[in-house]
Amino acid sequence: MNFLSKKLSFILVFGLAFFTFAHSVLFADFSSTSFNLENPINIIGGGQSTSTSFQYLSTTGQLTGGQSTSTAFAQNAGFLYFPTATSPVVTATAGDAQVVLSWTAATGIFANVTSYDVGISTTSGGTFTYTTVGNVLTSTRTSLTNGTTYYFKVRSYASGSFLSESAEVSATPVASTPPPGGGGGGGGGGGGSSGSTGSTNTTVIFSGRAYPKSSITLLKDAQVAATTIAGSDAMFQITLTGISAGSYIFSVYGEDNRGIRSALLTFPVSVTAGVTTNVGGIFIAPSISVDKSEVKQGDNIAIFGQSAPVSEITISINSEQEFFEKIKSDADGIYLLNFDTSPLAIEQHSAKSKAALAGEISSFGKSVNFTVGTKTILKPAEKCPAKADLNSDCRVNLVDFSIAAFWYKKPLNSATIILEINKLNGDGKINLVDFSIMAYYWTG
Amino acid sequence: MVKSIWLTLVSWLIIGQGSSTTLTTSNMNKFTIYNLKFLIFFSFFLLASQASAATLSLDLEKKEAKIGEIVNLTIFLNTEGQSINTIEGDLRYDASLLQAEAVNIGGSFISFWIEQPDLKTPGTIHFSGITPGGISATSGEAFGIIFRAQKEGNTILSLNNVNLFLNDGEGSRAQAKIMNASFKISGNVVGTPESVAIIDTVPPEKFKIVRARDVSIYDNKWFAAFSTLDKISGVDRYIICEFWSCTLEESPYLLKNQTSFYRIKVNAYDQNGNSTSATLTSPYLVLIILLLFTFIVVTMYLCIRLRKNSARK
Repeated sequence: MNFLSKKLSFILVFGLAFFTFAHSVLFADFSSTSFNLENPINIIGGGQSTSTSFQYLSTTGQLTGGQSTSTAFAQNAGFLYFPTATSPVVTATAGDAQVVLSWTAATGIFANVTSYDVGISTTSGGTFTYTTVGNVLTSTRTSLTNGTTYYFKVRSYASGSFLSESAEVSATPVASTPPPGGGGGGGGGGGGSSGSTGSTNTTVIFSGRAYPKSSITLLKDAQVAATTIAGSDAMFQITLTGISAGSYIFSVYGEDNRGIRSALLTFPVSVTAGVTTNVGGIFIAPSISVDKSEVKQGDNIAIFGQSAPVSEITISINSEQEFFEKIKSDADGIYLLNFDTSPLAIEQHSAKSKAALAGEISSFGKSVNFTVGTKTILKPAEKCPAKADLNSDCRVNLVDFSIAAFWYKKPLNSATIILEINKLNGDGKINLVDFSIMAYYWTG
Repeated sequence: MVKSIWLTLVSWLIIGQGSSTTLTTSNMNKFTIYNLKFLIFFSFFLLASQASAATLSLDLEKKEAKIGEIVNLTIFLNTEGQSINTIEGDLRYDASLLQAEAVNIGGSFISFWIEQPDLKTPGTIHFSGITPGGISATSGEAFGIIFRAQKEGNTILSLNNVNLFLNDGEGSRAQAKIMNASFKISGNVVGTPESVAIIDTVPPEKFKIVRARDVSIYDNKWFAAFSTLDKISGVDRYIICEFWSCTLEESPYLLKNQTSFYRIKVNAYDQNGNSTSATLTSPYLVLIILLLFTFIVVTMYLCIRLRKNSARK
């Protein structure tokens, strides 16, 4: 009897589990004009299935629609959880019969980037020949023909699986100019010299995507160096001249149609004297906002912002279980997601978004907080930085840094304690945590 | 912790539930193969999701030197794919064996130093600074120190009290891994010891002065804020002048002249004495000078006309 009841309960539990499985594996179908993948389930195993218009990389078990976690790992089910990475921002510096390439590290999402490939072509948008360069962030392509324009792309991989690709960036190698006044003797043309412009012009050209007609700000070592307006296709280009040779930290941010600023996209660039350096593939993360600061559990919250036109927007809603939603931005780059808060617990949550277009993937942008509670409170439009703007001028810059630096490691007066609580981490003192918050919200 | 969980999991999966058999081709039954598949599966996710600790390492150009020789030390940051925006730490060395002769912040990724590394305290060099927007790098240069070997012995240069902060808007601490460096000094240098010289003929970067005031600082009085970088030897000092009165100061600087008529000039000097200056002049002062100039010109014109008229009469 005891044995029978054990057996029956086992069958019951097993049956229920099977029933749950059977219903949870039905995720959205994936299709193209020549392909349709129904009820996708990923099963352990190597290899890949491909056709001329489709590539299917097999991966680990996708058993339920939920998430399996431990302290050391998280496994998410669903196609939205496939490993990917941000597209590298690539810098190309022309030399004598060579081009020095460097790129920003691709940030893996559900994967760690393990290697990069560098692609080269003599035609823009043409066929690229790729070379594996390993897990490095710089590569020099040699034996190139001076005067020929070369186009480069960088791809990121995780254990051989393709993750992301940069936009193409060009450079034209030029023969070294002999030292001035040089007759017979003298040393050779050392260093990088040459390049696509004259020897006295040190130029850096930045190009990439933001939002249609958005205002773009370029920071050089955290101070405003140039501003421009993106085109209606969201593409922008900034040319910086007359800077000295050296290593710089450049940052770019965009302001959307409602004045909301994107996160800073930062990349180091080594500038060579007398050479034009091209920095391409900058993809500014989407702006993001929500219509409610608090939403009644079960009601919708509108998550919206701007990105490049007709780009694929992935929105991550942070909860005990992370939710991912995909939508397309419209012709003006605007996106809107009405998210049903029923599955969210009554507590504070955050949302962030990234964009993908033409093979390029942006990083996740700033996150925006909202509370799921028992009532709904509308959120007023906010143009100023949420934190770190100590002098309330809607900017986080040298003045705010100066104020914080003045009070660093000093006891605060009552006015500054209130300021610290409202604008920084709220522990009543100015320390490095506050400077880190300031560095994140920096506008220059 | 993760390692122990992983080892337990591995042994459980390979050996099986309660079985003590070893893994051979013959006893790899279906269940074991199934377990192995899960092993591979867990390996992938365990490796994929483990965020590595960012590494701050000390890189000595050589491991051994003679007394009187110079050795360069560079502090590098490998963010391991994370974005780090704030760093802090103490570099400690044995001041009886090594003498720190110069700090090189020229190639640093730090945009604003909160506490710029200096040589004021022998044996310890404290540093802290921020990079707005964060940096993700495999070998980002924080700064360099030029040491001179003083006497024979083995020594360790170490980083202590290191704090790295993620660029996440919350000021979260990043896990930090430290790589110290050991150094051996033996024998005397042959000939005259080389002198420390950073070749730098390029002045610091152009910059702007900001005049501001806020209730939270200097009792809402006007102050000047300024900052620039030098790409070779680093900025050494700032000299600020209000009209003709100049002093050696740091930013932020409480202005002596709190009126609306001001002229502030800041000279930034690098370690080789090259300088770049920035000037901020009150628009009212410019207007007054223009008006004064116009007044003088008009007065002179009128005087000349008057004189001519009187001469005619």
